[in-house]
Amino acid sequence: MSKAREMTVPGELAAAGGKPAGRLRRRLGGYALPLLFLLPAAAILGWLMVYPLVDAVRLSLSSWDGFSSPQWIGLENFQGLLDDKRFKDAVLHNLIILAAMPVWIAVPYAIAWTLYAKVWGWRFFRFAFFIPVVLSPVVIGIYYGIVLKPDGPFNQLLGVLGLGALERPWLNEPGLALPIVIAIMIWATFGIGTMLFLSALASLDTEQIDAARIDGASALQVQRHVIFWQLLPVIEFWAVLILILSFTAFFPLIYTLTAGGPGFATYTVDFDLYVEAFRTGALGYASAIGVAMLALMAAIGAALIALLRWRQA
Amino acid sequence: MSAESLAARLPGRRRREGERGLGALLRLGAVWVILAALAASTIYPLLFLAATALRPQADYAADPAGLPGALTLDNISGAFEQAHIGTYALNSLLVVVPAVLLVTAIATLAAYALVHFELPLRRVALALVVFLMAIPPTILLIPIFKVILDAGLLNDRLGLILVYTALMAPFGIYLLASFMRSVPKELLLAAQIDGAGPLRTLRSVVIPLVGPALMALLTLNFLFLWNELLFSLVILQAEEERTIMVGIASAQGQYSKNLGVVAAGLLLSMIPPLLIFAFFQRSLARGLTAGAVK
Repeated sequence: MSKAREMTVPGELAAAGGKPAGRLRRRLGGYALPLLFLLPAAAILGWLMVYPLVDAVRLSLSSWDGFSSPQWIGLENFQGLLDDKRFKDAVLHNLIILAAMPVWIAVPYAIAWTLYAKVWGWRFFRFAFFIPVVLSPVVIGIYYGIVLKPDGPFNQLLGVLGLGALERPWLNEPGLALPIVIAIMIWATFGIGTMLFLSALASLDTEQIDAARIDGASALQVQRHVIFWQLLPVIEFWAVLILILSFTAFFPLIYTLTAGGPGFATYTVDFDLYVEAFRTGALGYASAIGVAMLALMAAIGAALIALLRWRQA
Repeated sequence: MSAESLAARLPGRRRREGERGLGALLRLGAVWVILAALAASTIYPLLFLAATALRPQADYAADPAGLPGALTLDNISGAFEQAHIGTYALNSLLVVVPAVLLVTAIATLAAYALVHFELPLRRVALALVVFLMAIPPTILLIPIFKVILDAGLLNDRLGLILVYTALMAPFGIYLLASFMRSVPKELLLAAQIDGAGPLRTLRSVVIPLVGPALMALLTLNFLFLWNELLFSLVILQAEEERTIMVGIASAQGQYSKNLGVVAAGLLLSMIPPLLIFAFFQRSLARGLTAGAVK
């Protein structure tokens, strides 16, 4: 077989000559090399992603301490979840985090507009806003832990500004700790959203916008009826990313900033999963938390997409 | 809101002078003050950590937010000698660099096979890649821990390297596949006619054309894996193999009385990400926006 025939890039070329049987053999020969290219990825993904995904379900139906082999216990773990106040609180906290999504979307959206309009110093702002994105959540968590200490710089700053009445042990107040953690997470990620919106704005269809203006639409109307729809795919992408972040990105922040406290006030589902698995040693139960989390995320994700596309239809 | 006044600055619209009243100026000023405050909050960590790392503990305690009254290098040397930050950084490099190279290699081969060959079920395979990309790694934590445990790779760098490779591979394949799709078929055909085999075509035609995507993938994966905590914490539990993020997270509790050492550790751990950001800003942006803007 000639070298040129080995590659089936344009299917027509490979299919061009030969009897059916010969063509088939050549086809199979042609597949050998690409399949070989695919093999490493398929092997490692099968071993360390697809199989674990299936195994997660099996483990969630088992009791496993990490030493002996897992014992099948049916739905017991899931029944346990229903009576587990800490887990239910963690789910509630994740829902509160999700409720912050409008802010999480609006902040980078508004900032992208100001940068797009080239406010004075926009290049510097664009650079500065991306700094938290490249920092590890571990670094961010420890940093804010230091800054928000009762005798730390933030309280000191409030005192200097004459706002001493506001000084408090920020992370030790049950009602305040979760909102602070959410604010820090939005702060840590708004740079990604800003960049997404900024690159979408750069490819706006300006003819459509001009047409709307000529037809007498006000700036607000153009924003609402023309630009919003053009940006919707990016808003949707960012919303889904926020959903994933809200369920899976909090662990390193909570681990270093509040350790779930005060009490259990900042337990999130991913943090609860880690604690159950590697502090309590209930790995089967923790798997059930993971499966419940995936189901919850899938349901919320479907609802979110439906909501965002609802007015489009 | 600001968007209203800013929408007025869109190209193609000539602003009338009347619009630029005092109100509009004030609004612009307010927007600018908000942006400046936000920028201060993102830059302050670097300044604060640098200042805290370079001053004695007593000097910090006296005036945490202020400028250092005295300078010292004790905290930096403490971070290396007592908190073993150098060892942790080396441990991280020994895991992250092989993982990043491995992901790039297998993702390049897989994307090439999926995009440029008429394989059966290739649409299914690409859909599977997107599906895996959406699976939150946290859900796989325990079954992956079990796989690694059963394979005898717990507390073995190779175990974490393979886990990182698997976790980052779907995004890598997706990113490279979307860039490879735009490589003109004519170029591939030309290479084929000139007698180049598939591997030669990959090396001489495809890879040079998707160079920017490869760069984006390398920088993004390095950044992400250097900063990663959860899987590193679970798979490399032995103290002598701790990666940098696990190392500084545990040093945080150990040195709670000596924040200078903690700050020094944080500062040192930020150097590689900040260097990447400074030199590969465009690559990072390209990688992050590739999924959203087609």
